[in-house]
Amino acid sequence: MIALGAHFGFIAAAYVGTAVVIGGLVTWIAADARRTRTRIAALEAARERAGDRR
Amino acid sequence: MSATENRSGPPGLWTRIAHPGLFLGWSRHLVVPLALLCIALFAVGLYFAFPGSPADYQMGDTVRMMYVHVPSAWLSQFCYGVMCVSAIGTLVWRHPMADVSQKAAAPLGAAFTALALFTGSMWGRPTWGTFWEWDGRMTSTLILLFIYLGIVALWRAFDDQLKAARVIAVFTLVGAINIPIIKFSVDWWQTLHQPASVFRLDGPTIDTAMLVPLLVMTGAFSVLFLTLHLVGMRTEIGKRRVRSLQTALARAEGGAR
Repeated sequence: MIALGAHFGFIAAAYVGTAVVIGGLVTWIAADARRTRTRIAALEAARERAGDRR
Repeated sequence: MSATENRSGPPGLWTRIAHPGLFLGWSRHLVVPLALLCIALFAVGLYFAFPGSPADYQMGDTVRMMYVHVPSAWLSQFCYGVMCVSAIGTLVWRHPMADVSQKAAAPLGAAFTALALFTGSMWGRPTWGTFWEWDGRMTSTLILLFIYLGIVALWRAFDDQLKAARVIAVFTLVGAINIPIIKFSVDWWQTLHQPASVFRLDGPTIDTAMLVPLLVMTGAFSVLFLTLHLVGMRTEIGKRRVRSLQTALARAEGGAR
């Protein structure tokens, strides 16, 4: 374990802030992708059902 | 071979990139390898950023903030470059993937610019004695953040995404004037921020022990951006498919009544 000296708080804040922003971006983009795929599957199923009714 | 046979051959490289359906096909195989490469680069980069590199003789351990600050600042400008190329693609070639690329890049650019400002202020307090100074580099980077946020807001303001892409492309290209201002602000004005120390005509002025973690972390951030941009573009194509399916379904239901 390396000691980060008197400015440990600033170094930790910079890295924790980076982790939070990157983690947030990855989570948001992955969730958005999954939500969109689910929506497309639901709409395609609904279109097939509408086609069968005609 | 007849001309008809020539036209029905396998699609060229440009067509494979340009066509949204084909893009979804080839880009699917890139997401996982890019994500794995990104994780590996972050693991190596973080090793070099802490136990694998020394403290600076003047700044001490605060130099370790450089390994997240500089890559964030690099991406804040690289992302704008991607948006400018996409904007030209939208305005000149009406390229469907250019619109998608512009839209997917904007929130990423905003996030990395905010991160550059945050990590910069964390680094500034122990080294300069202040979190913030209204100097050329910091003020022009703050303006870049506002430009990104304006672009994100504009995308949400338009229902017609084709019209939005053209308006935003013009706005993006006008805003590009800020990028050379950010780059040369440290040379043009008296500033707390140091001048360039990596991309210089006479070579980097950083010691190799610190240049290695900086370059590895910059690589990790760049691959992260490419991965997120690729997934964001795939999602944006999916959202356009959702809109067209909703329209088709509404028409089908209207016709059935």
